[in-house]
Amino acid sequence: MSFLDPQNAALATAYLVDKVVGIYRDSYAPGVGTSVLGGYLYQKAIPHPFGRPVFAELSWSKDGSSYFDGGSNVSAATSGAIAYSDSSNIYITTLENTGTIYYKLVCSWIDDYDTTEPSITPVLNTASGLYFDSRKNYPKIDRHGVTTISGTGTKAITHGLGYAPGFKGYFESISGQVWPLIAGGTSDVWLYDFVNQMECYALIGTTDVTLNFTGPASSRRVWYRTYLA
Amino acid sequence: MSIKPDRIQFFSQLPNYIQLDTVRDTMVISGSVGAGATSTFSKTLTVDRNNTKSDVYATNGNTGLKALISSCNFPAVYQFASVERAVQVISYGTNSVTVAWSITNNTGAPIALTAQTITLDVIPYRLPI
Repeated sequence: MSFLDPQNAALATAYLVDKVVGIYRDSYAPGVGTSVLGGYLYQKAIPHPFGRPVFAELSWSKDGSSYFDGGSNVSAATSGAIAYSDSSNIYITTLENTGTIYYKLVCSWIDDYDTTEPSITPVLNTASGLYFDSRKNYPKIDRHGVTTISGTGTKAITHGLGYAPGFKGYFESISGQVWPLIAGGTSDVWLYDFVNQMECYALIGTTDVTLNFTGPASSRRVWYRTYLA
Repeated sequence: MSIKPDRIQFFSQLPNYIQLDTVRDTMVISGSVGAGATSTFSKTLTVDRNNTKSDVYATNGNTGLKALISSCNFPAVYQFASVERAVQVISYGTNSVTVAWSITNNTGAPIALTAQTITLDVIPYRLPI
């Protein structure tokens, strides 16, 4: 069977989708029980049961009503939050160290993390009964994979779609930790360890996605997904 | 219940993102920046952010290159004219997303910015929360 216009298909088994395995929603006081990175980033560890890192997408708030996306600064170098994970925890890292941080975390599975196929118990929100809605569209993964980067340079990932697709990448900014893409050098507030931490951003073209990276010489993995536009 | 996520494509016991309609607008960057000065270019897009999370993509009309900018504080597709410094802040209202790029000229003389039109696409998702 050929799919002439997959964008119009809400559900198509020819395409992978993001597999949500963890949903966390709670709040905490960033000055209590948090560790400090680089003297200015306040980090909360949230244990997870998956045994390996997951892609962690964060929405966060300071008042429980107005939520911001993770990774992106709200106010230059004074207000922001980002989430990353390792094999034991999801970490929420903020520039804030007072008040209350409200968070919503949606964690998706990394198929290409390794060759094992472990059994897991999802951590899901029982209050949400609507998982699929055939009246709506879904982000359809065209391809996914893992590649390695080291030092400073560029690396192309070919997608061959003929247009610039959606793209999400996660990488080992620090070995064993899976971060969303971060960049900006001295402007990058999430770069707290100039010796061990790597930066990477992606430019999406009509045939390739080019990874641009800067950091230590040790090899780091990048997991990626391209989405039909 | 224990499952093997590697082996499935659709499984109704794992939730997914529900994609809502994309909102698109453009932001024009042009003009000159004096020595030591900063120019800020911004655009606010109206989008229903109630119980949603959004991906924000920027595409440069000169290069055709696109980047996901909502998870990064670096305006990756900005086309440099000289050695100016470019940073971005994305801020969120209840029904809006504002993208602001600040261009700072740290040289000793004015520079003419590379004229460029940035197309901004905001893709909202209903979160399974």
